[in-house]
Amino acid sequence: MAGMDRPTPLTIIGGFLGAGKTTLLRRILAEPEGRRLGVAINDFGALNIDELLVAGRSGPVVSLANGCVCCQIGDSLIDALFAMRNAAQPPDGIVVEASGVADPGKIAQLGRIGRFFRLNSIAVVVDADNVLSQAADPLLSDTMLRQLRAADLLLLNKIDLVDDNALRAIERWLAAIVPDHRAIKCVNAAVPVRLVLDDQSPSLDGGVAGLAAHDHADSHEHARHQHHGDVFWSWSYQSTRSFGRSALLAVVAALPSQIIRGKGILICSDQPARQTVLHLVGRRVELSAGEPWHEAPSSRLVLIGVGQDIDGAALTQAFNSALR
Amino acid sequence: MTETTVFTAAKIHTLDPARPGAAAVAVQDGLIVGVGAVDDLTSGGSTRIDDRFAGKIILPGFVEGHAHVTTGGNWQHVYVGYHDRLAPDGTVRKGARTLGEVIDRLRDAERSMPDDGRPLLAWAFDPIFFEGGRMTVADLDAVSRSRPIVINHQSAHALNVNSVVLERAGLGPSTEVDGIVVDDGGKATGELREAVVMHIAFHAVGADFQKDASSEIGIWNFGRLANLTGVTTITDLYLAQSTETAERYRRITADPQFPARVVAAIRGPRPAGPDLARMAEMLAYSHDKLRMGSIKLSVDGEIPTYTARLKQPHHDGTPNGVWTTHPEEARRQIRMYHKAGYQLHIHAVGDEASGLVLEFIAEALAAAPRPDHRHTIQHCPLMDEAQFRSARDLGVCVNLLSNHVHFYGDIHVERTLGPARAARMNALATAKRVGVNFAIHSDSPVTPLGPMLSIWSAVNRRTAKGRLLGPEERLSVADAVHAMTLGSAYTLKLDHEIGSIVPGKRADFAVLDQDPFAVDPIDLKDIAVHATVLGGRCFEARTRP
Repeated sequence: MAGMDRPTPLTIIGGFLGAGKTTLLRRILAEPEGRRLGVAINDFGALNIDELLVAGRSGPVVSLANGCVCCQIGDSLIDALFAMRNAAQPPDGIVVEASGVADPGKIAQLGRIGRFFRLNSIAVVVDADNVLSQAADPLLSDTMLRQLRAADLLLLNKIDLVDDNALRAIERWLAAIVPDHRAIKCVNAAVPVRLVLDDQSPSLDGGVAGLAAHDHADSHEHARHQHHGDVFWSWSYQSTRSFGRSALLAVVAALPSQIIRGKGILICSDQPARQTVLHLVGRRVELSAGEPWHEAPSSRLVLIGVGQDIDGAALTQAFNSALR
Repeated sequence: MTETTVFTAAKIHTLDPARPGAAAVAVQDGLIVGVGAVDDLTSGGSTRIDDRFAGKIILPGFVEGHAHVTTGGNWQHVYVGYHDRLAPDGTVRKGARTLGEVIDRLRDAERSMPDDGRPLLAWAFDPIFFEGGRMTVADLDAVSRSRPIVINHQSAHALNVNSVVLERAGLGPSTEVDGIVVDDGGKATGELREAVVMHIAFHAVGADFQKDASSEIGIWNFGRLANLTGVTTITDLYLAQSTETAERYRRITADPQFPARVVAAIRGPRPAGPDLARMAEMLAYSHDKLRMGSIKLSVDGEIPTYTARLKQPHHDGTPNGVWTTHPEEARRQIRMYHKAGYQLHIHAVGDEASGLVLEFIAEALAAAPRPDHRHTIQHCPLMDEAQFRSARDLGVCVNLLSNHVHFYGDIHVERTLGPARAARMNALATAKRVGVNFAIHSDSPVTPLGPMLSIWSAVNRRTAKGRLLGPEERLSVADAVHAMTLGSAYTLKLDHEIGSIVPGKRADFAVLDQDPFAVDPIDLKDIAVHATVLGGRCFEARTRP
């Protein structure tokens, strides 16, 4: 349970009407993994509230009754988030399904302040079948570009509806707009929930590491995900030596774009007594101070990637180079 | 038969071209029964002459076609506006003309508050008038270092706060969010500009300017302010679809002491609109002094915050604004509510937005023709001649915020629109020439409630800094008065009941100390309201200095 003093993790789902935001939300609510999740829904007209109420019975579901006239953020969204946070039983995290025309980056600013809410990730769902025509609509193209640029992680959804050539064209187009984007290709928004949601566990066990069937140090594993979306692989790393913070950040910043999720509990030389927690969702990277070390300090890191295979030895070498 | 009261005045402007001026008006059972010379009106049966308005000027009661009940609620907090402003109790609160005066006023208010740590809230701060000096966090810390202080700007799009608020909200110069203003030394000045940081600040200290806007006191204040400014019909154009609020409105407005009629447009959840099945429930609360039943929609933001959907880029290069409702969703809603027979009031500020709304209404009309729908585009400051023509041809009305030229004209010239476009905004003379049904409004509390101010703005087009902005778009006094009475009444589908002084209409009057048609137009806003008459009942406008 998130205490009053701990910021509530906030996950923002953005994307156009019909892209698959609600499908992703349903998946998250179906696999809450022990979390009590609060949900704030904006496009209330587009979905069946009762169904969500049943699915999300572990936590509160708030439909945003109205917004401020002058902006899309709306006091109602912020009021709803605070109401959930201040409730007798606050949720462990809140998922906001943004309106189809909203800029999820604006909503995410609530989490960037860090006092009451902490940004976990901005996931933007893209309808592969319609994205290029939507982007060509002069009334909507800027709205779409704002959403794409705000995303930490893109879910390129409905890829079963387009052929390979079309898919490559979309990927080229995305790369031109957001050169450092991180995308997962999927069908029916079927991605492991843990790729999008924060894992609350202070350890790696059952968290991101659980995504791969086997987790060997300095190894990588393949796990073809259901349907025919992206193939996921994981790579893990361990060391008892400490990292230099800026060298570590430089290595993380230079990671190949196939890497879409990561979690690390690390020793940093400038803060050796406490764990340093690395949180990576798409292109969002955050290093924060964790618990004091209880056992012998040991850095452990798991990265999840999609698609094209990766050179594990090169990754190991890169992280080794950031050790002090 | 009930007695007929004959009110006499120095002059009655009826706005009835068949009898534009008169010396007396006869009232029976709340309705106008005659207009003309005193002798003509007293020749019949039981009549009584009421000369309490002798020497005064009578106009039709003003119709404020776009306001919000929140305009009454702010008065619970400290007023720190630059201009003198009329409060609901009839006193004129002095403007604070220097930053020092603002601080003094806050310090006085702070001293009078119990030592309970509750936030000190103030409103209507307008730093644009204080050249060479912004308020700083140090200024406010000098007022209190223990009590949170939150000052809302007149624009309602920025705040100034003290360090107590910054600390509790977790806002500092290194916080990675938009809207935290920092000084040259990289220190937060306490000015907060974006919705997110503003609302975080509100929540962090329990400051709530919106709270209880439609409470008992809020609604009463709303009525009192209407009376004091000559308004006999006022609108709450963003009412929640709530039977609880509707019942409160019904009860308060039905009180014979409540001095105004209220027309409410119902908003639903955004981006979805009101629930059609429940609209009938809302209609049931209507009575003589309360009209429910129209629907409010919104498609974009507004120009000062760069959120309006413009056809051409902003003057200073800021990207285009935002859709508050997805265009496809707006199309669906317009079609649905139109088909169901409701009148729509649609907020559309940018010209891209107003153009799209016209397109959607044209489609809805083609699918379901309906004469006299009177859907009204609200604000629409950038509509041009072609859009006005299209509105006219579709039977669409437009309602423009004439005060915008005064209060925001300088910002539009310098930042948002540039001089050329700013000069064409709120093109009221063009609307008149084209022949579209138009009205003017205040959008209070966005600009102060006051029909004489709205008329003055439409006639003079003077910005706060004194620019004459687009002189070709100035309205004549007669056209501006019409827009503020019959023009507004038409947009509310009430022109058969109110808006002019004609036998058979309701006896709703604005009684003024001076004749708007006789004064120098630059003095129009200074004409004092002496009283209003609502359904024949007199409500003195008890203002005192």
